[in-house]
Amino acid sequence: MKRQYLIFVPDKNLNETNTEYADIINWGFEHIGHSNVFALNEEEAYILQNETPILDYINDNNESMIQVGEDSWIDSIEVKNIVYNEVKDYYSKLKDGQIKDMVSKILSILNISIQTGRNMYFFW
Amino acid sequence: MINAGINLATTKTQFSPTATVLAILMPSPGENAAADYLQGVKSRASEYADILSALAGLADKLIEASGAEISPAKPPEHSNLDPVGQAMQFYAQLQIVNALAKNIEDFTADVKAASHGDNTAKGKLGLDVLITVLTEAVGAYAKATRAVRLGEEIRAPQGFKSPYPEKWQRSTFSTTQGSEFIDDAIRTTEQPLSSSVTSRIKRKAAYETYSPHWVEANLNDALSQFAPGVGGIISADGVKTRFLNRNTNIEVIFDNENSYFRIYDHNKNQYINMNGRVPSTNKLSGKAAKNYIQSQTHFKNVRK
Repeated sequence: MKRQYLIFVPDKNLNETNTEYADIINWGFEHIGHSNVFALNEEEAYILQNETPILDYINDNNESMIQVGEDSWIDSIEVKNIVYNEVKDYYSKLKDGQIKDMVSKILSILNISIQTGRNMYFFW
Repeated sequence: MINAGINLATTKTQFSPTATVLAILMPSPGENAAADYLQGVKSRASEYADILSALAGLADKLIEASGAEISPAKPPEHSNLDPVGQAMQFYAQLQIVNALAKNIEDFTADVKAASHGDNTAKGKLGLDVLITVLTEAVGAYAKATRAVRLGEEIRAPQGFKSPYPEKWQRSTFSTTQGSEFIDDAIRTTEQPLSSSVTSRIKRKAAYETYSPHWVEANLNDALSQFAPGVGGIISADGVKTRFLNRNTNIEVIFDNENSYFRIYDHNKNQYINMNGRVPSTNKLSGKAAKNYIQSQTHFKNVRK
């Protein structure tokens, strides 16, 4: 059974405040392919976890333990900004390739989260 | 790429074991919080000590190799390698030592940072563990440094130069054994040794921070209910064991490091509770919602 590991920000059609967490996750799965949704396969999730510091940047600032098998979300604008700057700095040092493409997508979604004020979800 | 390995001067500049130990021992804003946590972490100290002891053991072997086995006048009698292969092996070992020293440096920086956190996952590590780990790291670092210094005696400034007579090099350089050792060394230096150690510690710290809110349950009960007779598959990094029931598409995911588990329903794409239901956030929001959801879908494994 192949799982997909989601990183996403709901769009304006979903009211986060009045929506159950499970339904927010459902929105993510129903909108794979949407520009706000990054769906990773297991191999990609492990690459992001074990070969990049991205999850450390998030967990160290967000009081979370996001990893394969763990879910959480970022709701603090302060945390988003800190993480965005750290990820952006890391991205600037990457060579072209799979990891850079993945980090680029994460930066894009993080930016959407900052601009819209919506939470950034990691359903891993 | 080979010459990028040994840089003792840089390592010395960036890492001072004595200063770091003193910094750790000096009172800091986070110490009171760490002290409160001391009793709980004492039992874990030995775990981290074991990791660093293993590194120290590697350094010991390298010192032994550099002092006794490498001789420009005479190749080791019991070695299967030709002289150049032996020399290359030693050079490869030095690359490993350098990686060891650098990773201990990084590792120690993480440990030092952890001592100043009082309300983060890192801060929960506790001062006792920090001192134990750091003491071991200092020992391993000193040994690695000595091995590197010994290695410098047979290494030319501009790269590798065999200490053996030139005729031996010409007659034996075609062997691939030496280059295989170099390849091994490069692979080893490219592996984030400290990353795996610090990641493990971070996962442990996160578990210690969040698990008090989790429900206690028995893994065997969960397996009987959701995945009876299903064999577990260990993840590539060894952290998780997955028990997937292919009839129901429900999976029990056990964390091998910290002995807790979650249950994932592939039909619903959701983590579920022990009743097989997706927990509700109960109109909670923000951190309260986050904590509640996590508490309902994480199970600390308790034995019956």
